[in-house]
Amino acid sequence: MSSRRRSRMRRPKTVVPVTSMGDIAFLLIIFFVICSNFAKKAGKNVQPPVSSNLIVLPKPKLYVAVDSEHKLYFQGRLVGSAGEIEAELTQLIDPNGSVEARTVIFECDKSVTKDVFEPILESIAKGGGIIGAVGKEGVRKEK
Amino acid sequence: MGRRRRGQRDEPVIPTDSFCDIAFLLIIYFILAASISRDWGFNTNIPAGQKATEATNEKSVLLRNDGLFWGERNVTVAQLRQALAGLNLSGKDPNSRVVQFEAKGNVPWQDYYEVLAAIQQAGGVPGILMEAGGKK
Repeated sequence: MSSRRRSRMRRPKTVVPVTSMGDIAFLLIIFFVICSNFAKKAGKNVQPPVSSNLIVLPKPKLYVAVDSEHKLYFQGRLVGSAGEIEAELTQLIDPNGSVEARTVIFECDKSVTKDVFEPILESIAKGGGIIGAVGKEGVRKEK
Repeated sequence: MGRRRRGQRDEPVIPTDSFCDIAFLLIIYFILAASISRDWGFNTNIPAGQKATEATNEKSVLLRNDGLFWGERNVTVAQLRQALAGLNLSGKDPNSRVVQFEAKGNVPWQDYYEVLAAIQQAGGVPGILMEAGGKK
């Protein structure tokens, strides 16, 4: 009789409360999404040049790119000329600001020629920017 | 035995356990993606507003399609780095750190970048000479 009674008695289920874990996780995701700088990169066809002793550049706030088809991008948006970049940078950059605030990340395809990139370098300098030239760490074979 | 009693219904439960897994996977993705996408390169502050069309000091680098020249001498990038390191530019005042750099012809960004990197890493300030009548 007593063993029958025991088998009829239900044991309390052990439940781990995981509902709040989901809430915490989603809060963390929202934190990361808000705090991270979304990439303003356009560069699909950008092969950076190779050089040695490169350093980590600051997180980009201002971003200029030139792809292998010589298309020019500012903050991920296609622009027509270097003059447009200079005009926008003049408005965005405080000449007395910190180095990090004035750094303009410049990513250019390694095959792009001087007649395209030199006016852009000049316009960044004239707009008050410090050029953060993006490259790839490595050693290139000497010609 | 298997029949349910009348009026006894199962409580409707929405399965939320897998939400945690999805959320933590997303967190891991964000953390990894944020740390991977760091840009490497160098910072260079090119003096603006000063225009010259000819090299005027002895510290001048010329890049052409047929080679790289330090003064009159044809050099490789490694030799240029050595020559610039010998000048000990980082210990000098800003005006003495200017290295004039001119590129002639349609040289690619790869070659130009290596020279700029060499000047910058040696503590120099690249003074870029524009070709007269260059495209703006």
